[in-house]
Amino acid sequence: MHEHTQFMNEKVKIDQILQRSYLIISIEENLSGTFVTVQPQGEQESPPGTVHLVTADGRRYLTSRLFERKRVHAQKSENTAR
Amino acid sequence: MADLRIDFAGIKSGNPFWLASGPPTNTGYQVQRAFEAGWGGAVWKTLGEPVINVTSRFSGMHYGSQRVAGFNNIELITDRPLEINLQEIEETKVNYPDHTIIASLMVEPKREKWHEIVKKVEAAGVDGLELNFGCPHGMAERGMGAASGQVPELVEKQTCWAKEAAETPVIVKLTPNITDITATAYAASQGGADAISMINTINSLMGVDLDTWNTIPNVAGKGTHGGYCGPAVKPIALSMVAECARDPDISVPISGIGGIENWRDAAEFMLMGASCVQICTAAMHHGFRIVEDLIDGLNNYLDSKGIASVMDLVGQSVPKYMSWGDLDLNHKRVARINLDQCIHCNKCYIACEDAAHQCIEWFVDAKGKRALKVREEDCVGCNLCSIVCPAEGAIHMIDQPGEFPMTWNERQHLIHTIGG
Repeated sequence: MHEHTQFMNEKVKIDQILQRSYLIISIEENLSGTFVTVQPQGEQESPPGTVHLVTADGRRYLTSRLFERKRVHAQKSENTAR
Repeated sequence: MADLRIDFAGIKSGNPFWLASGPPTNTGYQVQRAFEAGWGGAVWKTLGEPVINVTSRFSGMHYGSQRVAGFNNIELITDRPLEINLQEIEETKVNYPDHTIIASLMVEPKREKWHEIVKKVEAAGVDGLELNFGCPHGMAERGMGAASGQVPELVEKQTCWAKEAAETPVIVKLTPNITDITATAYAASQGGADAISMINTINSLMGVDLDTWNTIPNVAGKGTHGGYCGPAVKPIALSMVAECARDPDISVPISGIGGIENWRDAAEFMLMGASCVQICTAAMHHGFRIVEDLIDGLNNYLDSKGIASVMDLVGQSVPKYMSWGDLDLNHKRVARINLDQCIHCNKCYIACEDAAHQCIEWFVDAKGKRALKVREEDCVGCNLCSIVCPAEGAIHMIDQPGEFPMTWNERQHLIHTIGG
């Protein structure tokens, strides 16, 4: 499988995490790649799930989206403060 | 015409091109001929207790059609008594008062030895001193040169001793044969150096003769490591200049040395923080008159950029040089093949397939002809295909509009705050 195809599969999973109000509990990076542990918000009793990112583009994409989200939140807070 | 005059740690020079300490600056005859040719300055071949040299001394690394891509020498410092050198320095200074003469010095790491030579040499009228802490062979076995220059404490101490006696600016010439040149550059500035210069030559063995099994070069069948220089070392020298130039704790001016052959090389060193450049191998290869092209080329470049003074070039690229962790991970660049220029040699395909990311593939065009294209979504922008491509303009590397920048350091900080 071309790496891009592999990345596109991971991208779908990352977008799901970010769009469906999952809470990211931890991001662990080790020799096998990146493991994102998530839990659906408001469902503390459900066991957390883990997404394993293997591709470099997947790992880059995840943090880029998190940065984006952080920036949007910061912007909103700034607007509210005004 | 741009103003090529420089002020290097208080040393005024007509242009930034100095002959580096070495065989071309061995005698007054040579240095005066160099000044006549147009060199702004010369660093006199290292003075110290006269040595006895061996034959042979030099060897060249020829690569393809390029003669002297690299150059190696096992020659030591001056083999002439100090008094003769000083007499010639004095005479040269009288004949060429507007040209810069720097004396390169090397003595044992003893305070009184440094005081003695500094006073004697300054009395001959030099414009500055360059402490040779870099010579990698011969002298290092006697505790001088690189042996001193690899120990930051010795660099600081000896710089201090030279400064105690010196009235002219002291430049410390650093060895590249060390893990981190900023350590010795910092030590030099702590010792009071007015400037630093880099790089001296790199430890090297040029080769082994496959018929005789002798080293190249050899002295009666025996060899030793020498000092490597010439165009091949330029990237190493440039990175060391850049590392020092961007270090806020090293605030002294830098004289760039290492593989400078033409005005382009010189301009690159100056952009990366060197206020002047020193050249040796190119003068040994092509003669003193290369300085004419150096001056013309730099002048034309400055004029084309609308820069009035060469000093305005110094350090302009330093802010663009940083740690890997501060580079943008989101920057995207891909290769694109221009089939009008492609000669179908297949080199890009082989390189990508064997050594990169397997993203160049064959396709059949509308006329039924086989051709190559880049699968851009899998291209990592490594540049390898464009590097190996022999056809000018056949492969372009295209920057693609990317997202907002994100560096590795920023990314790791974010992960850490989330709970990584």
